[in-house]
Amino acid sequence: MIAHLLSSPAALLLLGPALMLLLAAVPAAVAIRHPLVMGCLIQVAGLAGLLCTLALALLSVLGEVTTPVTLVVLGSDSGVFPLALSVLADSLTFTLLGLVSLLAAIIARYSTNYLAGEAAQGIFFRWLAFTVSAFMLVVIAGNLLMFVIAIIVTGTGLNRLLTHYRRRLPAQMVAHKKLLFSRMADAALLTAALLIAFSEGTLSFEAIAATAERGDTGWQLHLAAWLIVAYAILKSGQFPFHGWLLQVMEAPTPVSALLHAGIVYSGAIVVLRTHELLLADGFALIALALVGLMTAALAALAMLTQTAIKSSLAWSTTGQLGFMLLELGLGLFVLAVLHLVAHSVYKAHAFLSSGSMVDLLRAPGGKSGSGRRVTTLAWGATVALSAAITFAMAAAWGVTLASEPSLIAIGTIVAVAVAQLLLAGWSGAALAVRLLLVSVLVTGVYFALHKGFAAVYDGVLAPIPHEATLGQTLLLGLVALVFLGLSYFQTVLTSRPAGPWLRRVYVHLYNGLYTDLPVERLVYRVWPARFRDLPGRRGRLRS
Amino acid sequence: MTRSPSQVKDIAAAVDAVCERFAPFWPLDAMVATNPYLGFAGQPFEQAAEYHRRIIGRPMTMNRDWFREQIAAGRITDADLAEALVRSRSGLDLDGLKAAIEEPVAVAVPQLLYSHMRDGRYRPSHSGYVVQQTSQFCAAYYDLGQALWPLPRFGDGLYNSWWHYTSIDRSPGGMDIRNADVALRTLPDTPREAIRAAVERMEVPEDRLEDFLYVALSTIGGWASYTRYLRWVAEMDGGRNDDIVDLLAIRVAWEALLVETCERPAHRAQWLQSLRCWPRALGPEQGRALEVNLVLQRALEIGYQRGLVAGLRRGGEPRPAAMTEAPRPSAQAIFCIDVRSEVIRRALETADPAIETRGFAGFFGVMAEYRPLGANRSRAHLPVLLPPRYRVCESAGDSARTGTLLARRRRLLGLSGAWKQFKLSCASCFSFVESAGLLYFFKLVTDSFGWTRPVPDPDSAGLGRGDAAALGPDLDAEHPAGGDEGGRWGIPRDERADVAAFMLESMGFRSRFAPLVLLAGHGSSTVNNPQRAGLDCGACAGQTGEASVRMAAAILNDPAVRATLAGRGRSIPDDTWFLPALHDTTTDEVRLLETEAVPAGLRPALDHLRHALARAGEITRFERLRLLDEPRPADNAGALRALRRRGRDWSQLRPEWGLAGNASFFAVPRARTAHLSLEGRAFLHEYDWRQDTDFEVLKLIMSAPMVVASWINLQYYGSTVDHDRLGAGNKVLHNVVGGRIGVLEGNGGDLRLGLARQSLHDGRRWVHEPLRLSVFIEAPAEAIDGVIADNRTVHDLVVNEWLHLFRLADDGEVLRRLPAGGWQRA
Repeated sequence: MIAHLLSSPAALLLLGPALMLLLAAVPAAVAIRHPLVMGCLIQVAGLAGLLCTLALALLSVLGEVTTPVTLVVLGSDSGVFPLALSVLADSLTFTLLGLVSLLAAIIARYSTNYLAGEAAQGIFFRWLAFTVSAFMLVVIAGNLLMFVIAIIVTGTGLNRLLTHYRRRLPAQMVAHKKLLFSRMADAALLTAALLIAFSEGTLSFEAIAATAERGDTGWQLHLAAWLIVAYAILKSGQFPFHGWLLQVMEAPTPVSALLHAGIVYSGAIVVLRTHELLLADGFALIALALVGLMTAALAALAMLTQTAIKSSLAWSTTGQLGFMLLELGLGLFVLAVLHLVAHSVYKAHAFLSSGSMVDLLRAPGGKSGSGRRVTTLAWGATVALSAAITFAMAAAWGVTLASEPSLIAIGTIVAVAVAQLLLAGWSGAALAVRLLLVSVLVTGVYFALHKGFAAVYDGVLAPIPHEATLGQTLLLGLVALVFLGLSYFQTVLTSRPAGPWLRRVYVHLYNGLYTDLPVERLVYRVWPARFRDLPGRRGRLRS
Repeated sequence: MTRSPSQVKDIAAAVDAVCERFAPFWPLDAMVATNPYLGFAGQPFEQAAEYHRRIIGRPMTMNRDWFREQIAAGRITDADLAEALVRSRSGLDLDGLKAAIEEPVAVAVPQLLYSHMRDGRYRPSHSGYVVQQTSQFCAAYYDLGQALWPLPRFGDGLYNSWWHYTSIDRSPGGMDIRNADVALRTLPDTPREAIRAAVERMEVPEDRLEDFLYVALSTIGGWASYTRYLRWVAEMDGGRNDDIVDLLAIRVAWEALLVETCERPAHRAQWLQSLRCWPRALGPEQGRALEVNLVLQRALEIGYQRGLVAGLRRGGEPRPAAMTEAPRPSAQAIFCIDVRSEVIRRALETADPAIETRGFAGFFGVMAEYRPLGANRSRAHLPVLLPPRYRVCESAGDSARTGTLLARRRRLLGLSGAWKQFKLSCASCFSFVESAGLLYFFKLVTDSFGWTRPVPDPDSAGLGRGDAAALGPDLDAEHPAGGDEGGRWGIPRDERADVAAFMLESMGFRSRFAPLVLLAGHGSSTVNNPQRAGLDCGACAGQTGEASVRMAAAILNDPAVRATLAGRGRSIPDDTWFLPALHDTTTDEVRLLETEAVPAGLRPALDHLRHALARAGEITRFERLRLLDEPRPADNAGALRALRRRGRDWSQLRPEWGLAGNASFFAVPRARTAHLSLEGRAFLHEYDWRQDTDFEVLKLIMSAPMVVASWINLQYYGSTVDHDRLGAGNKVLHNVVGGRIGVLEGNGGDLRLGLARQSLHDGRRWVHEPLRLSVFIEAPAEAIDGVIADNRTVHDLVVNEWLHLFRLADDGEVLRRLPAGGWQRA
């Protein structure tokens, strides 16, 4: 086996998870005694994982290694029991593994001082290494069954991190809510894997893709496609299963960062890995897009009302995941990867720096939401101007409606976003000029990245579709309308004194549309004994 | 049941009494220490402890296990226990006490609220839900900049808005509280009426009303304290704010809703019974447990005082005549009374014995609000007990330069505001991520290594590096640059001499001015820390002392001011220069400000002082590093690097220990304490009663700095002994709420007060030892007794034993003031 491993450079990808696993295996007593060493070693393991990934990516670019390639280390992808420890080396793996390695190092570095002095810091690092190791296996998995097992193990580790403060009732509650949806999702994915295994006899992602592209898909594969979509919806905290994702501030900030910047993408990752299968089904993707669109819109609106920084960040994650699933559902896989990577680093930073909110507001003019009233006309004019900039910039990069029909949707989304920038320009000419320049820059960067990512994942992910069916066109139009509506709602409607209708909307949104309480009751029903003896059961006075 | 007018009046009186029991809580950007027991100051300490234990089940001392550890470690000795028994007038003898210490402690949990009774074991907690909904509503109502869509207007005032809001809220249904909206609509929509209607409908017994209301409001004590702050500020401005009554109405209305929607009448009867029968005094076992804890607390304080008193006696008597005839010091350095100054003062005296140090409140007597360039609100830079007298704005001196800087700052801040909208708005946040999100890749790395700050420094945001240095307080400006705001700005020229005279008088500065007089304010270095203001200068209302010292120095160096003072017989030598400086309490570097203005003749003295300060910093850092969890540095440069790194580290929850450990306050000449190491636990205020002919300064010291020191001391005390209620919880879980109001711990719940666990505890032990303040004053007994008799606040603190008062006599003797009056040899 060793010789087999050494024969392929793809085995480099296993170094990161292997080192992390070694650290997770450090005896608890040792870890407790030397938490700083543990933190340091996780940083080293993370960096090693990052360097290996970069090295392999470089070899692949230079043509020394042909990618994509699946390296089976142990077991077999086909046969009666198609479970293999296998590594799928392609540009998507390089991106994701590099990202996870970097995050692991940053989070370990952050936790070294952040949790200093806590008796359980060493244990925290052990579980961090364990969780990261399992999640690294998720992102390099070349085999669906391996993916399922690794994600179940990741969930177990994450649960330990979420309940780092074991005696906190709300922390246990969140962990159990997550467990509920997580295990439902895992069951769905496991069923999908079984269906594929029985009908195709293989669980290698590459083989599944090949089968799907041949077009001979039976009912098993269609059902599997729907189960994968269900998995993605449950795991990505999509409406109405999003409650647990909003409450992870019960865990230490670095855990929130790890979850929101990494583990929560497992749904998107499995969709990317099996996108050929989902494309063959077609309708499952549309369902995914609709759920994503609904979640993105509702979560973005609910985020506007939030008054605590971490709650606001968590709602933002829910919305951003919805948006990413929308992109996946529209077949814009390449853009979804861009979104995943960019959102990951952005959200990790946002969580880790969430204590800086006060500094932000201490600076002169730091208050957001200027309270300026915006008329419908001003809004319309601004959106029109930004649409002109956006579509001109798209054309400059060779993206037109003819070459990419989805530009209707993504162009509108970018245009309303840029309009948000330009709206501040109504306060003065000097500012307006600068904002115009920024807008041109932003749209330019956006389409450059759009093109760049399409080039990087050429051959790994399906390209951005060049034509759209009637159904897809309608969906694209709906997306454009929803985003125009969101922009109008926030800019025009909320800047006016609210009427009864708007006040109702506010109350329901601020309460998270009441999806959480039923789930909490369900958790009490499923695990009645779990919460009985925790302090705080009867409010603070009891503690 | 209808009530007679007198009963209605009783309800109103109970409401007012309960609201006054909550101490104000300042928002995070002006976080100043307040005495959490402020509302109980009128009662003896021990009586307040009994009330807390009996009515809300909370402790006012450390727990028994901790005390047992202190006895085992020798921190509390038999002599301390014996002395404590005498002082407590306890019926126990030493052996009886020792036996009682080993007894197990039982704690009964009061159940005075129906919501607590309704908490089931196998469903979400009702009491938790009510607190959560109330807290969430308050956060939206008071939000200071987090929400992009602020709470729309629902009604008039907090309670009325809540009433309208909750009639829309569908969440009670999810909690099995059926028909809550129907019940709500039968409640009045004005606060005082609602409280009356609610307690009548619940049939709260009249003699239980006050306790019931207090328990209800304490479940949401964080927000109660915030509304109490709003009242404090309004009263300071001569107005009135009754939001705390609204909050009480909300909380009581929730109870009424739960009672009204109760589907089990027996359950409700059981609650009423328990409310009626709740004991009016602690049971014998509990009473004894409390008594023992109070004796132990006293013994702990006696142990600390014993060392101090012995040390003070060792110092012998100062020779007043000799002091005024002592040679002129090469420099005088005046630091804030903050306990962190004690360490660096001692170090500076060691570095150069020819330098004299003094202590004075870090705002240096300048009672001003300060408006940074381009800001649209001013910040108070003086103790919160005092009303600001002046408003001063920041400028670059000449108006052209100021105008340029202002325009640039506004433009840059406008751009960053627009960028923030782009980042966060509901329609644009998705595109923001796809176009700019990747930039955070670099930011993550540079912030992790401390190369960059997570967000710009608020004081220099929108300014170039050199520009921030050009700005400073402008005493002459008649209005802020770029603004047309009316009112009086600056400090008028004809009033400056009065301000200067007040400063010198209260500092006890009459003669013997050194050539260089250093006025050192202080501030900390910390990033990504919501409670940063808690580490800055408390006397400057949670700001750094920079603006205050620059204003003070500008006034004292003004030739016109000096001429006027000389006319009044208070001349300052021509060769004396007041030099502003800022002491960084994290790194113990002292940054000298405006050195370019120092007269050429004083350059050698300036260099000498700079050198001495550098040396003092080195000594201080070594003393401080012992308490920090930091590997032992190899040399002085290593120590400085380590501390600077802490100040820049976004993951550092303990950049420094702040005022942890504070335990004593001295208003004596420095000569009395100079031979002692007070371990950074003492507030040192310079005071020489021989120069204070009419004892006006003594009165000022006892009614302002001493009270502030006691507030700080009791904030640390409360946060330590009752952390779950008066402390801010775990920083790891902090979630900033309302933009800059406060923090929640984790997901929600009440607003958290006080200090975080990480500011008091190093993970293994409490670094802060909770002791009531021991105050030492050198002055005649009659003078001190006179102040106590005249000033209600001081009287309460002393007589009710919220602090311990000692007097230093002329012959070097130390006397303790008995709470009832009279002095006894300590």
